[in-house]
Amino acid sequence: MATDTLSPRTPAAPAARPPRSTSLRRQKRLASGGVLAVLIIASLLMAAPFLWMALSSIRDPTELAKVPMPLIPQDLRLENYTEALSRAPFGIYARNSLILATAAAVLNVVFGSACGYALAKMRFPLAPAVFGWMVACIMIPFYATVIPVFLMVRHMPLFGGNTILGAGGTGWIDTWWALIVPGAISPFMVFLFRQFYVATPTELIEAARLDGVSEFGIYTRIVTPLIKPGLLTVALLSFEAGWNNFLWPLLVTTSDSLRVIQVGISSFRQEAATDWHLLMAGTTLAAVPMIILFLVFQRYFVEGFAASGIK
Amino acid sequence: MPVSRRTLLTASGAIAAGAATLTAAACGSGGEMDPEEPVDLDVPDSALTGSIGLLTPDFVGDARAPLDEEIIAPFTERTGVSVSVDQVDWNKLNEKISTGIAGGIIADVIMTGVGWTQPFAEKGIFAEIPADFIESLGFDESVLVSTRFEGKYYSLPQALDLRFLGTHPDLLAARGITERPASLDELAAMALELTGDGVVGLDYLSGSAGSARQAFVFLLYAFGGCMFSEDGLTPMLHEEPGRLALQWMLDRISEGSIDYDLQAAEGQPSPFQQRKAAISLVSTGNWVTWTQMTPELCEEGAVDLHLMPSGAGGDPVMFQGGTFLSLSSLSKNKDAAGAFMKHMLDPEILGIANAATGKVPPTPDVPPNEQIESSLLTQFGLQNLPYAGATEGGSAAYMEVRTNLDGIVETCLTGRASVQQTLDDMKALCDGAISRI
Amino acid sequence: MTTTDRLPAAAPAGRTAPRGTRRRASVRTAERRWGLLLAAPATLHTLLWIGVPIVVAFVLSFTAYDIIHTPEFAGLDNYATILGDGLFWRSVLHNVIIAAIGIPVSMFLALVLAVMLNRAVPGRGIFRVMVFLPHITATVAVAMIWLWIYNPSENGLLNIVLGVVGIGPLPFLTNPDLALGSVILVTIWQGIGLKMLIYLAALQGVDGQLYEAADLDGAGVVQKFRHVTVPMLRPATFFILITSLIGNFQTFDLIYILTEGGPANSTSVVTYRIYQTAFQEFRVGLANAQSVVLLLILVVLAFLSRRIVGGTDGD
Repeated sequence: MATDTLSPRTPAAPAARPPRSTSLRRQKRLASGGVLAVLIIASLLMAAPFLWMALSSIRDPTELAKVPMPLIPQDLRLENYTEALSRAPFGIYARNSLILATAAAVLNVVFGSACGYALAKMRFPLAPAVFGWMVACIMIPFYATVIPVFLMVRHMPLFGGNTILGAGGTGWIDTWWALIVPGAISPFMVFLFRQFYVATPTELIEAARLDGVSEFGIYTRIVTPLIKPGLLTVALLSFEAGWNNFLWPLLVTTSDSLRVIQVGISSFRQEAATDWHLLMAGTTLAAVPMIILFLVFQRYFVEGFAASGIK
Repeated sequence: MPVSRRTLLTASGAIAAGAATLTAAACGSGGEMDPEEPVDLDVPDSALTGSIGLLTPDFVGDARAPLDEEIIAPFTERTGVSVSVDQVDWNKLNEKISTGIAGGIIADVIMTGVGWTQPFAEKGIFAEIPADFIESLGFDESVLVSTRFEGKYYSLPQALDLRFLGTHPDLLAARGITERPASLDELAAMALELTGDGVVGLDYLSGSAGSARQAFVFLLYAFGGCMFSEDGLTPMLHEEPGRLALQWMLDRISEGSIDYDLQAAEGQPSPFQQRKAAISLVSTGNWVTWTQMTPELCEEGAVDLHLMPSGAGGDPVMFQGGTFLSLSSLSKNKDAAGAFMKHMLDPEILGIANAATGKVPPTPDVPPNEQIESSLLTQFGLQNLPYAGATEGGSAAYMEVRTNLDGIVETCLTGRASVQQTLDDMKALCDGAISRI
Repeated sequence: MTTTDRLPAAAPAGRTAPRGTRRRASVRTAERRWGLLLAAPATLHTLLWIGVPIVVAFVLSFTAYDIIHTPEFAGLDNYATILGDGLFWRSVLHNVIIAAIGIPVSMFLALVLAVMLNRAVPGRGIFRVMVFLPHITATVAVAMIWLWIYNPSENGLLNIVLGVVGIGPLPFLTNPDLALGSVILVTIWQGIGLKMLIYLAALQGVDGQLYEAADLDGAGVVQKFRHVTVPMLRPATFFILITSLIGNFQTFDLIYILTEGGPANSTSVVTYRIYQTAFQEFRVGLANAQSVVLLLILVVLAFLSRRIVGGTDGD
């Protein structure tokens, strides 16, 4: 492979930079100016749809029917938001999504890290099999199993009026169980955790063992604190997956009180039909929480990704 | 550590056992419906209790308040039965019902469309409705055709959506056209004559058509065809009238008098409203948008309405879509569900409901209602109710056919399949679905 | 289950260990025990909620099952149906087209952006966020936004832009020639963020000395990119390719909101087809057979992309 010829496996050392001539420096400055310009254009293009969403969400509905429509809304109509909120219970939807996403984040962090740690740092029978299974699971798209999972949830024994054999009632359908349990642990998160833990120093574990720290203690108190960005990355990714989940909640919930925000938006689309100003206000409400969360945590997130060793 | 190894072991053993039962349960999940338990529509109000669920694709947006306040509230007050409403869009209704059935949670009163009754009756999801009650309502035979399966009634029309043609008289006059088309050939000639100067002769496929499938079905009946045989076991849509219907649309598209790309953008006036189309398929449901966006079209004589002329020398036809009420055979409160259905069919309630949704009551015999009387489209539809023979469905296999038919017709109209290929595809699709009943 | 059955066996192994290594042996026992315990919840959960459903899907794929009546054994009927189902294979083809255009384009753009953002550019945090936004936003919301951008009237954003150069208005989502392309554009836009982030993470692991060596050899920017950056990023490229392929074959929300597979089935994709088969046509047995075929396609693709990129898994 080309990599082998080019990569001397020597530890990176802060090499002394050769002195540069001024013309080279000017060239460099020009180049970074160009890079900056490209970046500005690219990121504006990436953000344009969101800007358009935000602009449309404060537009007067009469403007939407005007041809040509002024690009910038003539006046700020925040009533669109209050109206959207009054037309559909976005508060309940958001609360449900928050519960679902938080549960996904907590469960994935707790159980995913446990399994990831064991796979990365512990020798136990079946470890290779478990790792192989997890990797295989990553390959299996949820959509390939969605129908059986649906049937399993519906026939969950002793729930929702079901008998011990899972017949007769509705099982977990339209309950929190159905929303949370089947997707509680993602094999991808286990895999990510394994990557984080692999990068931690094994000597630390050996030393702790000699000091008589229990295996569980080593995992919780010694190694795990080292991968804080990793924990945060998984928490954020799981939260995001939970918040953005659509098909599954669509299938297993029927009552309004369990409806999550993405399903809410899709049914609001039917309800508000052609009122794009309301639809965009609703969509903004559904999109903004994740954006804020990411803005707050983005630094750790990028760090976490870098630490995961996916490269 | 609060959890001992033993408990974990026991727990995981239990999970494994659970998994095994689940596999078994998931495979043998045949919850058979209870055999036809007749619905009793004569239970006195005082004997009704509990609550029921209503699944409806109508009563969207502003129409929701009248449903809650003027339709359900009086019922709850009279009977003490509370009604919870589940509103879902038309094109998600089928999934809603199927996941509901699969999940074991399904509303007691279900509102569906033309063509839905037979499939769900065949599957045992809809309960039979006593014929004497239906006959006592005095509805026109044309609106009852799609409520029957194997000679029994399984649904009742609650609202109709009728489609016919509308023209801009001035645009026609400008070209010297004064007569209404008496045949599809004449309509074609007219449409071609009217095309040009940024105007499309006939807007047939955008908004009001509902879907490519329904546009095809309308013409199929205009050419004297029908979708299925009487018993619903033999497809007929691929026969000569079907060929003529497809060819008629293709010819118009190639002449330019129908523009496939002419689409009604959501929230925008339709091409006909913008006077970009001289003739248009018009649905009774258009009235609401007309009054809001182009009130000038709502004046007497502003739009000339007529039925779809026949292509086979017969009577003109009108397309009938609608919303039909059915009772779930899985309902645990059938008496209350039946009472609610009766309530929905009360002439006064029919008036209130259809005024709210902008649809047409299934009978002209509703108490005077300003909104219904003021809609010229509704009035035209009601006057021509006996012509409302163009209906889709008619086979227990239709739910499987429905959405696939859209793709097949669209493929033909966009020149991606020949007419013969399209007819073959239609036949194969229907035959396959029917063979699985 | 099998995992837990082995557990007791670990204990005697420790007890029979030679004297001198007793302490280490007991550590080994504890490690084995705790390893199993820690791995058990996730393993059992995935066995139950992924393993069992796969088996169920496989079993049901040999039945005729309409949700309402008991499944009936149907042999290979469903698979025979799939072989002759033009629409299913067209849906597969659409997935392949979306992947073949969308993935390389977004990977290339992501790589370029990542290389640029790997330098000390002022405000790179903000750039990173802006590029990553489409990824963290729910596909439902994304689809809603694009539905509005693709609005076929003169007031759709894209038609406003095209109007400036005198084109349109175009019916992006209702014309079968344009719809798939419109969908691909959204997948590219949405896919750049995560790919960029992974590349960025990978770039931070690239040895700086390599570039300096290349500098000394007089390599230009493009040469360095081709001969240092690209080869060094091969594992990341493999990872991105695999996850994108899997993600691509899971495309559902976007189609569900934007086009519902239309017009003329021109945007139907495998998952949407499976969904339709199961929940619109009540053919659950067939839908499960389609799921099994989807799984096979993914396995083949995984091996193929390994061949093409020649990378290794994560580590």
